[in-house]
Amino acid sequence: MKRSRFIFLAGVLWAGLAQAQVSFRAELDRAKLYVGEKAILTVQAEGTGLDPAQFKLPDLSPYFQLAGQSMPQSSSRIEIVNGRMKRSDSWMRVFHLQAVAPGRFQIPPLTIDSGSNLFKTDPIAVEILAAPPASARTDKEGWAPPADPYLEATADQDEVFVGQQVVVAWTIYYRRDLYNLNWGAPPSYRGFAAENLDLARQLDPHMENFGGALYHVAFLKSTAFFPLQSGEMSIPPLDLQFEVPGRQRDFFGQILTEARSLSSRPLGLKVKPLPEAGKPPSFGGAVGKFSISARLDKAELPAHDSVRLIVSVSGDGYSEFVGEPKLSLPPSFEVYPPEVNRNLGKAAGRFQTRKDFSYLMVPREAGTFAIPPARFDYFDPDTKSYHAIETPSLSLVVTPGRPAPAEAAQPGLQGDLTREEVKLISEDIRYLKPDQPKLPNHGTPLYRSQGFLALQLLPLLAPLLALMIRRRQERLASDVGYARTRRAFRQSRRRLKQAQALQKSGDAAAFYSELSRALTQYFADRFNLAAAGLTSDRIEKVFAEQGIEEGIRKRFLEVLALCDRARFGAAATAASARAEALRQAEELIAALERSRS
Amino acid sequence: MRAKAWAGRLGALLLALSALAAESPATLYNAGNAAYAKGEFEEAIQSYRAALDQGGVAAEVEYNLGNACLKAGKLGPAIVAYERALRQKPRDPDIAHNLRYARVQIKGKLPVAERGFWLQVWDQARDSFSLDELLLALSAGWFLLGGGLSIRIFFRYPWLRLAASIALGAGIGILVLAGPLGAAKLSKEVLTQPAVILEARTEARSGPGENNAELFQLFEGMDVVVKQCESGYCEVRVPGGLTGWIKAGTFEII
Repeated sequence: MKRSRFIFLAGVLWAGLAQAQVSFRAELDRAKLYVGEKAILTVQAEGTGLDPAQFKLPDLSPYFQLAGQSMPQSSSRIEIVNGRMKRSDSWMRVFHLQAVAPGRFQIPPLTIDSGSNLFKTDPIAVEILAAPPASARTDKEGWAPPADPYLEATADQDEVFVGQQVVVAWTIYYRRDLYNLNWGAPPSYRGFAAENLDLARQLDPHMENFGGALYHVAFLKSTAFFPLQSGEMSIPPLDLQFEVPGRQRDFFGQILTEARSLSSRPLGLKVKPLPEAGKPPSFGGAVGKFSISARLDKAELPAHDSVRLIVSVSGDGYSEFVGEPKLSLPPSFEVYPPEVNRNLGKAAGRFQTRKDFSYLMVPREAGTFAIPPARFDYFDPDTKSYHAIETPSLSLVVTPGRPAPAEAAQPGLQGDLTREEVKLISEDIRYLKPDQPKLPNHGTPLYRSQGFLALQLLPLLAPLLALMIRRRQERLASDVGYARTRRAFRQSRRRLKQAQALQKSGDAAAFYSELSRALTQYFADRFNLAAAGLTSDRIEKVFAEQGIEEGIRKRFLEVLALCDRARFGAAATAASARAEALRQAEELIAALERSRS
Repeated sequence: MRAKAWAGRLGALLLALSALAAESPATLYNAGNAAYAKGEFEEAIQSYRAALDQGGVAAEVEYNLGNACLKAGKLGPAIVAYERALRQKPRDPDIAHNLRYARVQIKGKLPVAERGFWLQVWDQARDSFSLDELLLALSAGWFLLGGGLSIRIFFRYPWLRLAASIALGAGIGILVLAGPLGAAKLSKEVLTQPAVILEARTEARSGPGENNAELFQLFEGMDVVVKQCESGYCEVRVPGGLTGWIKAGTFEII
């Protein structure tokens, strides 16, 4: 009884010890966030026997949806304490969770099964708030960054008209050092036109105290948005990637950094349509505050000469909505469509645009003309009404000049305004290409021609081939054994041909002598041996060493023996016997060549 | 009787052959020229297009088609035809002149991005050669490089090695000069989708659909680059850098 109790206690202790060696925990990088924001859930395990592939994140709907996840990061550590080696494995997985519904939520305990034990994390409480209005200020009383680090997006207005400028600035709050900040992939600003204003090239923080906690606060970037449609709209969040000092050190003891990311909250924006009441017919959609000016590039000119009227419209509206001012010029003026130059800039932290409309005019009659004011209509969001601005009236003196050139009088021709192109208008197109008995067929373009593309492999293959041949030549010249082996077959063929000629001539002794030499020399070349003094025993031994087939070995020695006997009259030397001996020798050499491969 | 039958068959065969010959690209092209000379520009356009359909893809046909379109008041198709002709014969002064002339007829104007002096030189160098010419030059450089290298590896004669070194240097030189031009040309003509507006006037919007704001207007004959298409609309970029969505079918890819 005592013994069984002892075993039970030992088992409990051992199980406790094994569990103590395993750590499985999860943490969320913030306890409070807004709908649309992302939070980072980090799951870490230390110990042995926990397979990251076994871990499955439970369904966190309706409060969160999975926006992304990293691959498991595993590491192993080996410690030697008092001569005992102890190995410890750990892994980490990072999940990006996007808040989709407001409410208080508790992420349930995450579990992992090691096979013998089930490990659980503590539940994590989190509060998800509905998206605040865009103009919610971060410096309001009692506000503190809800996380460290925290990326805050603020808009200068939360209720605007279609086409009105909204400036959004992104600021980061952090307590620990951050490194290598990079913006993530830019989101799609559908329904908005966006123009970048300022971008911090490096962090330039100042310190601020939030409820007793000191934070670094640094401006990151600002962008001007112009809503293109009315309704409840949202400026999507931006992602920021950065590195923070990690818990591990490298081989030299330097602290390793860990990659992290965070995103700003989306900004809700109420976009009102422009009022229909009082909208001028020539209104082009410009919303903001605008000014207009006009000038002539000369005050006096002869008739039929050209003069430019430049009308400039400046303001803080979206440049594409700044249309051509309304202008009515004297009917005796020939006017070409304006050349438009767009200058974009910023002033007082807001986007500014200036459009210059440059009209080329050719007065056809002499006289003193008043250039009437150019009018531009826009909507002022401050007064919530449409306004019209006008340029002052300008005066132009046209003196009698040379007669109108014929080409300049062509009605209806419009186009580019350079001197060369005005000249071009006066010309005609060049005539047709003449008749052809046969048309050149350009066929398939080269970049689609498979033959052409395949041919381009040649210059790649040729040097490789040249290199291979060159190396072979060098080896043949320097390595006698290799050269003899490579040439053995060719030389044996030559000798066999000589033997064939001797066989036909009927000189049996000479024939068998040549046949014997062909076989012996082939053998010697093939295995890089001296031909003189080769005995049957030596040949047998070399064949055995080289693993040549038994049948070939025997036949080779038999043919050699036959040659020896025939040379000394001890064997048949009839024509048929000679032909048979020659055939056998050829077969043997062919078989030995085959055995080479 | 049998001889008469054979004569009849032979006659029919000759007629068929002559009909085939009448439909050859050159014949259609010449017929287009004849119609143009009579002022029948629509018939001329039909003939030139038939010549192109029959495989007569030649700068001459495209150029004459451009002239006929221009005379028929079809500015967009004329510019498309001139652009295609210029791709095959980039140094032909007639094609360049008529294309410039056609562009002057475009009814509206959009802001144009300023190109600095060196960028203009670069554009001119790129547009002075056809894509096939640049690819042939690159191929020649590539062959000189491969050949020179092979000879240097294989032969030991000093004079041959000197010649190989010269070929090698020439090959590298050609590749360095023609490579970037070829890449730029390939990017301009093959990797992007340049197109010409065919409608007299079309609105570019901020997104695909009528409910998106109108950003600017495009006129017949204007050059655009098609970026993507979605829901019957295509996003295009004009040379000045503006982008907007226009209805599919209002342009033709060059």
